[in-house]
Amino acid sequence: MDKKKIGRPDRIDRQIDRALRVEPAGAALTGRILENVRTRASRNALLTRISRPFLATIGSAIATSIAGLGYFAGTLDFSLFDIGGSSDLSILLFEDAQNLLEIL
Amino acid sequence: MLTLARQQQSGSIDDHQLLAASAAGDERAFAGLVARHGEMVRAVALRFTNDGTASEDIVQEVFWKVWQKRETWDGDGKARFSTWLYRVTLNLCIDRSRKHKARSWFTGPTENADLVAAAEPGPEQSTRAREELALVRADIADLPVKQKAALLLSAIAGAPNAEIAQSLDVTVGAVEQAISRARRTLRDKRQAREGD
Repeated sequence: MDKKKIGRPDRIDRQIDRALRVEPAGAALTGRILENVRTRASRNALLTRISRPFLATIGSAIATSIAGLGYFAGTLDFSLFDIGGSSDLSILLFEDAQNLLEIL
Repeated sequence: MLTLARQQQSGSIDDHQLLAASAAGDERAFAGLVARHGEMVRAVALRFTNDGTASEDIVQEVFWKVWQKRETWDGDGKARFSTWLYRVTLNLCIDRSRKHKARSWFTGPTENADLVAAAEPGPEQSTRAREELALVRADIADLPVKQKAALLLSAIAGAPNAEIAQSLDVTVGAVEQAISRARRTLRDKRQAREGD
């Protein structure tokens, strides 16, 4: 068995330990972290405030389009949609539009 | 009854209490967490990446994650905050190292700041000693991820092996083996340089 493993740390062990050591950054580090978190938190809050109404507007426009497509499908005749009838499709699209609006 | 600030000073308030207080809007409690763990996170990140700028970014990212999780973190009722913190830190270090490797594949290796600093004469250490220290640090950064993580959490964070095992999702035996292998690798590399 390697005697060095069970013996006292030698020069190389001490050098490895020294290499592992890091000088503390002090209170400045805490300050920098807190400043960064504050900035990001306020930026996030701002983005949320801006993006919610924006997303709601975009979402309702999409919902209106889907509903319009549903209405359009409902007014079309049988031949265009062969996947179970145009009226089924229009109901489906109206439901999707309603679900989307509820989510928003 | 002790105030939060006094409890923090006396060390009688634990991480979970500080996290709960931060979630309730107490910024001093969050500052307490940062003050308690910031240096450790930075030191682990610095030795993991061997890059001062990267380690600073990692520290900022780790505490941003803590801030975001402050209201929802519960540790499943059994995990320690520090165990979770070690895991977040290591994951970010690994991500950063991967990105760095991918980038240097295109741009070529970047100059090591420690080695550059070592070339400059210093009053308290000889250039040779400083150079050697920088080389050992580069060796640490080059260790396999699990070995490096286990070694750094043990040597820098002072984490018990059981907690390291939990952070790395391995057995305590595997942690002991990883630390011992890491030290052996560092010794071997150092001795090989001495023989040159």
